[in-house]
Amino acid sequence: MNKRFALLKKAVAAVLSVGLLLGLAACGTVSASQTPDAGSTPASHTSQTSAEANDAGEITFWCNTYGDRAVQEQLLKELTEQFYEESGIRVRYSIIDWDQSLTKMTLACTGGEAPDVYDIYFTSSLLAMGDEKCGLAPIDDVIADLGEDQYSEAGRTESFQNGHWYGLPWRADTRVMLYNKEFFADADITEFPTTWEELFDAAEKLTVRDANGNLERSGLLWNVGNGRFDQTWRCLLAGAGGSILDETYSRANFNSPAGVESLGLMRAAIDEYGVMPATCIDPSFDPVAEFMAGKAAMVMGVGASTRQNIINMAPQMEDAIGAALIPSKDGTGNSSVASAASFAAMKGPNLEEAKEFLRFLGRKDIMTKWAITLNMLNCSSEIMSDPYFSEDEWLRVFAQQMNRAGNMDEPVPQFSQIDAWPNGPVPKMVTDVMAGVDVETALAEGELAVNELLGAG
Amino acid sequence: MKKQISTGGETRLRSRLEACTPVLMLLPAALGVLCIQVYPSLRSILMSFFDISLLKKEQPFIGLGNYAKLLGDPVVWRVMINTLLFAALSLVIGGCFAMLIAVELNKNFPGKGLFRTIFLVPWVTPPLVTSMIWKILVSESFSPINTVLMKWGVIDHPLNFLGRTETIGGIFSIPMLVMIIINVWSIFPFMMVMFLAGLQTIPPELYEAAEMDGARKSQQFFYVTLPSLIPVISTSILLQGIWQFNSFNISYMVTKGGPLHLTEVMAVRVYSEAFVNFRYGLAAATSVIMLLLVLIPSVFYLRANLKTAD
Amino acid sequence: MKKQRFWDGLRHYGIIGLVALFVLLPYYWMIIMSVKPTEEVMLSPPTLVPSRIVFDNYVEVWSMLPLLQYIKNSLWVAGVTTILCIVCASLCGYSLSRWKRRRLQKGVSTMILLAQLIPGALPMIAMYFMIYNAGLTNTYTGLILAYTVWGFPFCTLMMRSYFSTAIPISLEESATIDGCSRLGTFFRIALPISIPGLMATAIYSFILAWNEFMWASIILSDGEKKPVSIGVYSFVGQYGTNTNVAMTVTTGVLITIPSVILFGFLQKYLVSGLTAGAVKE
Repeated sequence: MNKRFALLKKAVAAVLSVGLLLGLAACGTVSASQTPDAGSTPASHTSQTSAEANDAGEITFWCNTYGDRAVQEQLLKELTEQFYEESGIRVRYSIIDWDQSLTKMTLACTGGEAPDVYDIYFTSSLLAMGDEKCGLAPIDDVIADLGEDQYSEAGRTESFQNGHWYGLPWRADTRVMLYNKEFFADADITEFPTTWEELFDAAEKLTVRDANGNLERSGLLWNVGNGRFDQTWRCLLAGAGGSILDETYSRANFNSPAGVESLGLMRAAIDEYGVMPATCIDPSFDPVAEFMAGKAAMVMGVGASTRQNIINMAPQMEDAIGAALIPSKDGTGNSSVASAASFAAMKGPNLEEAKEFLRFLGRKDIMTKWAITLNMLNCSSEIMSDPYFSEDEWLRVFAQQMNRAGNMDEPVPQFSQIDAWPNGPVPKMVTDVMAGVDVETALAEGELAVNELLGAG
Repeated sequence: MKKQISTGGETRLRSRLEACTPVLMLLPAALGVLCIQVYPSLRSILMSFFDISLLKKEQPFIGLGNYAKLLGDPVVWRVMINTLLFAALSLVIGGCFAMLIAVELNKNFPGKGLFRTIFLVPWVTPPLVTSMIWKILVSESFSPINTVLMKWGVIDHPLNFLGRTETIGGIFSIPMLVMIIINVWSIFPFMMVMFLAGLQTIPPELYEAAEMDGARKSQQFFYVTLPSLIPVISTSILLQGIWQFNSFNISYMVTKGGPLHLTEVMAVRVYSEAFVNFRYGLAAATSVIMLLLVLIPSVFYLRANLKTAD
Repeated sequence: MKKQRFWDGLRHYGIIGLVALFVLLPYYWMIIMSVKPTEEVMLSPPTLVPSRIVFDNYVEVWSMLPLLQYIKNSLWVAGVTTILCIVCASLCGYSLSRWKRRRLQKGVSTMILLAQLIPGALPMIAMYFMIYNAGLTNTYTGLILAYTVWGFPFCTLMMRSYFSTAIPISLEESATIDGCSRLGTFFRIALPISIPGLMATAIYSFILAWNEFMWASIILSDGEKKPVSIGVYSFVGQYGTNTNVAMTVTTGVLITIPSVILFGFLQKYLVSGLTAGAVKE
């Protein structure tokens, strides 16, 4: 009897919990069933200014995450509302997480779910994936309307392929030096180094060790995220006058004197100069975080959003943040790399509306608002001439560096494989060298692997 | 008369339905597995015999070409060994750890419910959160572990955990150990629950009898507790073994397999071949190798299972 | 004797205490980092106790991310998955345990076990296109379908052994004699007795669906539909680095709380459910 009672109690409790679960789930149901019902107009996603009249269709727009999510959300809302008022086309936008961004792009270009307008990179790889029905659509007419001369070399390399424009170049990315002004003042360094020799002189002066010889402050750090060093190496390679591929983009070109020297320098910073710790290959090691903690005087290869990240996370460092051009081997020529990303229109029934939206996005007033709100460098010279970029102490350096930057992404479909993280040949080669593999072996292996990918045996 | 016939028909229908019941009950589940797991897997296995890359238009049949390529790559071997090591050690350490706690939690003491809940929390923590916080805990500059050790004077300089590339016997390294510890943290609750449940099914008379025979506490554990738990242990070890072998989260999110492939496991390899390098053929071949590797211990599991079914 | 008991007690609490330390360390650190004043977060070596406690991060994360919406989404997805899982698993498990000698049952048994061996990434691509062609990308149905299929093999195994050990056959036989159909016997006799076992499987499948993030991140694109497990993705920057550690950690705390509360209530049933049958195999 007692046992039965216990069982009953259990059963009642179980039913109650299931009920609770269902109750909670029901709360979810409301929102869940609302979304598909109101499919075309979920509250924060489409412009709802006027329900009546001039409805000229609806398109979808996927954009990657930039900066503060709330800011980006607000900006997208405002712009899509404005576009709806002007054209009558509704835009449903989604902000895509970086972690799945490449996967989603791939699926979208191989017949999976795709938006009408997409914020993309690796254009040439995506082009190789598509077919008649899916993938990127040429938008020559849009670019002609907007004026193609305004786009930078990097933007053109990214989006202009096989004689057609496949994207509206917008985001420009280049790398500069981040340095701690206070440490520089303490060490009496007034001029920022312009050659590699000066760079390491300064780095040695700025390095601090404790009584036992342990590094307390690194004079110089290569910027690295998750153990990925190759993007910083690319700046050094450019600084030594080298390149990843040859002029016809058909063979690896980095097993060269410039390659040996720049890659050797990566490791020499640890072994010879002793200005950075050998443990920087730790995947949890973040040079910008070290900078914020006051444990690094210079970081080579930071992007434009770095300043805002530092201010958000360590506001006490705001006054110490300085930016400078990356030194090259002899102080002249390229010393960094630049890449671009674009808004592309995808093949599909809404292509005309998508192009209309691209024309809107590429307009000077809209693009300027976009670039300034998100604090992103732009491919268009017209946008970059805005005082916001030319007068700001931090952004000005990026604008200058842009003029001394080679191409980050080579215009071949295989480049995304060459550059793939973590197992692509170039990132792997640089990480290997940082972990102690000798330069010649690493270069030979890297060259072989790149040539194999390019089919150049 | 009419009524009788119709009842007869109804009965026949009912009895037919009755006979079909066992099959009908299987249907939803079996169909689900067939469509969503078995069919795509078979397709992927087929893919492993073709040179499929998204960047190439032709996708020729190359037989065992992908497999030859994989087995000729020393990195793939290292990743295979990593995977086995990671799964085996996570299992052994996690299992012992879970057993230790299960035995302690099986006693009656104040605060039992609280501790049970606390020890189950890692299981319900989303993996993204787990890896994000552990990445901070094992970093050189921002780990509180280093602060404590330095305060106590054990060390004069922060320890580095994930940047150490020296290995023991070419396979075991400190980063790998850290991965295993993090993994144990997140998998032990499930094993603990299994063991705890098993412990509660052991009749107390067994212990009383052992005590009468003069067995000490440790002897009781080895002669009473452990033998009674063998069915539980074998089931959960096998399932966990398979799950850990296929484990992806910790390696991918904490280190992305680095440094120098020291912490890379096969599931991460499959993922990056497919979704980063777009080489579906190679990715499929890698996962078929995984399947074959894990099939060996599983055959024992299957046989044991079919035996108990009989 | 008394001394012996003292030492036993000490050992017992010692072990429990040490394990609790290990388990709680990450949570301690998450909470500490989330309430530190901003200028203190990036100090190295870090301070163990914040100089003052601020809740700015919580306010900011709460206003920035629709966390309640995420939690609701997750509850809905995990709830439906759980129900589907236990329905399928109990039907299937019952059939497997009662007619285990039949060829079909043996075959299904083996298939379910083999399905456990398939590495998650293997069927991902083919599965994506199946879901896409069915028009189920960017819907909860696509998520729920996948989670149910992933979760229910283990649930079926648990339910099968539960049915074969915990329920006396004689009880069912008497029901059959009373004229109950097979399905009737299942619903009226077997199911009510096995509620603890059901609870255990329910919790297992609930957690599976609650924690999953990769599939969710691939097939969902609407921000409003996101589950809570990918909430911290909002702070991952372009190169996989964290753009705001303190906010990430705060989000981590906020999205762990609901599952801890839920679990605090349900842990009893998990253990008792497993005890009653599932692990006797």
